[in-house]
Amino acid sequence: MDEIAEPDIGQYLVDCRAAFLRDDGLSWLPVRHHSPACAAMTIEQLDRQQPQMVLIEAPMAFVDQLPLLQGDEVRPPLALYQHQSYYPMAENSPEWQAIRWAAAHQVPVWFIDLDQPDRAPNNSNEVDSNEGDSDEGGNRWSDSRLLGSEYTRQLQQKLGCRSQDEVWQRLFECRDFASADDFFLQVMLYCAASRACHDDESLQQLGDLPREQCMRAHIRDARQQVERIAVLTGGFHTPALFDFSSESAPIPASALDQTDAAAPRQAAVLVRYSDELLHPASGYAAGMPWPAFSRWQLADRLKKKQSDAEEWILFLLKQLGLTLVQRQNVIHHLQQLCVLRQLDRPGSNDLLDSLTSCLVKQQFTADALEPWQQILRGDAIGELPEGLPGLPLVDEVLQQVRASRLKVGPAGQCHFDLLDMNESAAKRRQLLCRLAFVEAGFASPSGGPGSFYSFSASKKRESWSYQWTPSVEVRLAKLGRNGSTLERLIIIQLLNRPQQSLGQSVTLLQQAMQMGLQQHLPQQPLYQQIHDCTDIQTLSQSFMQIFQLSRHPLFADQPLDKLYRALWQQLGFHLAALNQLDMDEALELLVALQGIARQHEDELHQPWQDRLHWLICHNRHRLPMWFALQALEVELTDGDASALLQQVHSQGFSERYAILEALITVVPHWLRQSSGLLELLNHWLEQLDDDHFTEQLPALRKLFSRMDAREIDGITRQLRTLNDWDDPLEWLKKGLSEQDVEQGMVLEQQLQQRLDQLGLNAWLSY
Amino acid sequence: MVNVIRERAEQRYQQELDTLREHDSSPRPPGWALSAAAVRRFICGDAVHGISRKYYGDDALVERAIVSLMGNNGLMLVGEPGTAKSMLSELLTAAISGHSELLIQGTAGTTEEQIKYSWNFALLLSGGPSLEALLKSPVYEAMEQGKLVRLEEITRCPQEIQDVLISVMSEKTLTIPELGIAIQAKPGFNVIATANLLDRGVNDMSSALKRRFNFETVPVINDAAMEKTLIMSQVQQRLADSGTEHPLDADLVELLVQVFHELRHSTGPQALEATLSTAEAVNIVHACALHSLYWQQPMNTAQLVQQMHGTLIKDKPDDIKKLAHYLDVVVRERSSWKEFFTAGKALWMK
Repeated sequence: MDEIAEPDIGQYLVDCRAAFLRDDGLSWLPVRHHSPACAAMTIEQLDRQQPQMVLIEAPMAFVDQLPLLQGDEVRPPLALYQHQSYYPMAENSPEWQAIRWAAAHQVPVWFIDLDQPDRAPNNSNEVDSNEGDSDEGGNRWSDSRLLGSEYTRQLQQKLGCRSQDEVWQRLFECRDFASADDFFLQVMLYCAASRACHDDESLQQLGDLPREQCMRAHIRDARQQVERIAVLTGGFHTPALFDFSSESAPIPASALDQTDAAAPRQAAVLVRYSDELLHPASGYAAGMPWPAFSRWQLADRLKKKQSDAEEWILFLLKQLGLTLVQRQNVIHHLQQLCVLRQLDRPGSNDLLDSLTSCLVKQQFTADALEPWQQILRGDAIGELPEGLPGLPLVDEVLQQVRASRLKVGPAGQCHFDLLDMNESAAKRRQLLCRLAFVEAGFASPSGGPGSFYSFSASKKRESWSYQWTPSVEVRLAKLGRNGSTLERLIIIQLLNRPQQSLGQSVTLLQQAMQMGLQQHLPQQPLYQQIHDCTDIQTLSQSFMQIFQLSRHPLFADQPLDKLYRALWQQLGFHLAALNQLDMDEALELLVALQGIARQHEDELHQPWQDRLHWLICHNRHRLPMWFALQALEVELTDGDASALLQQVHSQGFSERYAILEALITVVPHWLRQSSGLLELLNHWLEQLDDDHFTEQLPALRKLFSRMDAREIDGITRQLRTLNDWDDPLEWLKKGLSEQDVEQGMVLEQQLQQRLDQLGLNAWLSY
Repeated sequence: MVNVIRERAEQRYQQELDTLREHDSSPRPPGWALSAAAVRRFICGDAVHGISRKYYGDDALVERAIVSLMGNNGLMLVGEPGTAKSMLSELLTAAISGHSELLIQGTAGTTEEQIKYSWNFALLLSGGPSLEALLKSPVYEAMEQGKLVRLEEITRCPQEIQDVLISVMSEKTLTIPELGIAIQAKPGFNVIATANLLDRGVNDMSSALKRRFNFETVPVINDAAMEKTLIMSQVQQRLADSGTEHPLDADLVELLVQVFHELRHSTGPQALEATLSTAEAVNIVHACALHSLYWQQPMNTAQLVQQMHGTLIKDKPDDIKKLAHYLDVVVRERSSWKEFFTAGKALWMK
């Protein structure tokens, strides 16, 4: 500890050292939460000192959960929960080890911190705008003040470490100490030096000072009651607790002391936690990197008093599943690295360094070590006895999950036939959609969340994967502050989601429909947005979306006719803006509108025909667009196409292809009919020289890619006749047996019948 | 000062190496001139013994590299051009072996003889194969003396030439069939190779050879303050090497470092194809300093822009358009960068 015990550390540290050693009956256990070295040394120190009372930095109300925490049916990682705050405990948490030690030695435990204040929003409609933030418990135990201090930064520079966490690892986790006394003294000195970098004002702002006053009052009272006590707190607070005997303030009232029936006592709940949630990457500000590695470190320290680095390294390499040759390479490298870094045992950084050097045989990338990092991260999940009361929203959702016959625990999959769903399947899907909407992390459709956010009407089948994990519980508990039931929570979110544009509102509506909660969305703003929208693209997309939803069996009982009629009306009014769109986009829109008009002859045929006619007569169009509109009108009125095609002849050579392209896009079936379109195209192609043909080929290929092999085959036959080609061009795949063809025809027939039954016979019309 | 253009690391830092040797009480790996801890101090600096920091970057990388050289495998330093791979390799060799002159530069024309040994044909013809007629390659000498040998830009060599190293590195033996003998490497022998990531795919290494190396990726410096310090110290060193002295404009260097950092982080079509390494920045500042020294003008932004143009714009004319875009979109808005904008506009926005 040369880095810490320099002679110029100042009088403050000298005083701290003296205060730390002053009272033989008081054992200070300054810790970093979740530090395996601290956890192992805590046990050693408690065994040595045999205190009559153990004081731990955690909210006073948690004492209610002590019998459970000390019972045999629980297994970490677990977390104590109070008012949106979590106090996680892993096997390697000093707090956990102290609680278990106290149980084994029948020693009382006091939790000596202030209760977590209730920060629930007053207004039930208020939505948490910082949902992604780490929880309050994490902030209280956060290492940011300890590891982010100027002192740690200077140590980092001096030791050549890459992060503040690596400084901690090198100073405390990777070294052996003469005794637990020596270890905790060094931890305290380090923490005191870090604390000295913060002024009282910043500590006051962070809420540390009242908490420390509460802790001092507890220590004072405990010290008066028994001869030997142990005080386990975050090392950052320890220097502020030495002067406990001068503390005059009484112990503040705990939430447990409340007797007012109108304001029941603040419940602290024990919940399952996981390695995933303990890892700092999940946003837990007090997490030690690589939870599984930390667990192994503790086990190794507890196994033997004397360090045996070689055994530890062999154990680590075994966990990583390396081959013999890989192990041989890494073991030597890791041993030498520890010697160079003057470490008694390698930490996670050293292990990863050696893996990088010995096993990554290419440029290093962020994911190069991912498989091994995954093992170091771990996948442990805590265990609790059955039947414990849970958190309100968690319990409610869990009940719904069970009622929907979804598995709780192992990962599961759900498959839905969207065209034919019974009531229970529909309910199950609604629940999955609801949980996806609140981003509980429970379920996601196989195509990713996007496939829920924008429902495709052409989708016939759907698969969801789901898993109930502690992360889901934590997420739901956090969401619980905004709504006590899932339905209530979603309604609040629906009402608060931005609906600034028509597109956003329509997307939200289709999500609400999938969740079976569309009745809670006010309709009036949506109609107003339709009325105000002048963007033809937004209008057409919204129209298509709503129209398709209304025809989908999944939403057969949803009254959407009024809505899509309003959209149709507005779209028709703004169709004059068609020329603002790209040619491709405009043609696609026309084809879609025409298709819908034809499918719904009674309702939309006449208005669409009138609109087309008006567009042709009253608007100026690009030439290909004019021909496309004319073709659609001819198609709609069953008019004569040849007159229109005659007009193409009279256009210039260069314009002719653009017109043909537009015509083939909007009325592709004219190529197969004897309308003269194919002859026109053939004639135009004949006039192209080789270079121009090659130039045009990609565009032609794109044009014909919309057709299937059967259509192309038909066109090929016609071209053969037209051009008197002898060579038979066979486009359809060869090698099909008669049986294959028969089977294909049977399948096609079955498909057609099924579509007819569902009223979707138009699906195969193009 | 030795009267040469560029001194080798062991010449330039002779005094520091002597100091370290004097105070080095830790055990030394067989064949090493210094202990591993002293090698680390030589490269990463040690204020207590007055040892300067020579490599500005990740200390952990240096430690891993030192440890790799203690083992059976060689050390392969890969990275973008100009990330100080060669410098690190030279420093490691100077500290570990005492000298860094055993070097092979990999090129498309590197032959097996250059890696193993060749013959003095006059002696060979007159007296037949003998040790006297044999011309030792740097690898041969390194094996014989128990030293480190450096192989620069290994991926520039054809793969079959690279693979000559496989038996040398695994068996630590070099057979000379003409003489019926085999040279066995002495303790301390190892290979440090470097490979440029831009040459990836030119002559990819075989997996058999890769297995015999521990790879270390030398990153571009991301810390602007550290890069500025490095550039200043490198340029001052270069000036001192040439027997001159000239004050450097720290603000100008800071501006260049910021420009480089911003250009490095451009992605997509606006990303420059030119190499934007610290080495390029050192070249630019060095050129500015020389311009200022010999033309008797203070260092200024116009010189900086001109040197940037000369150093960065090589055979990619599109880079000029990208620099113009950077000026137009980023620099134009900064009131304190007016001079840089004006000078750049004259060159890149014509």
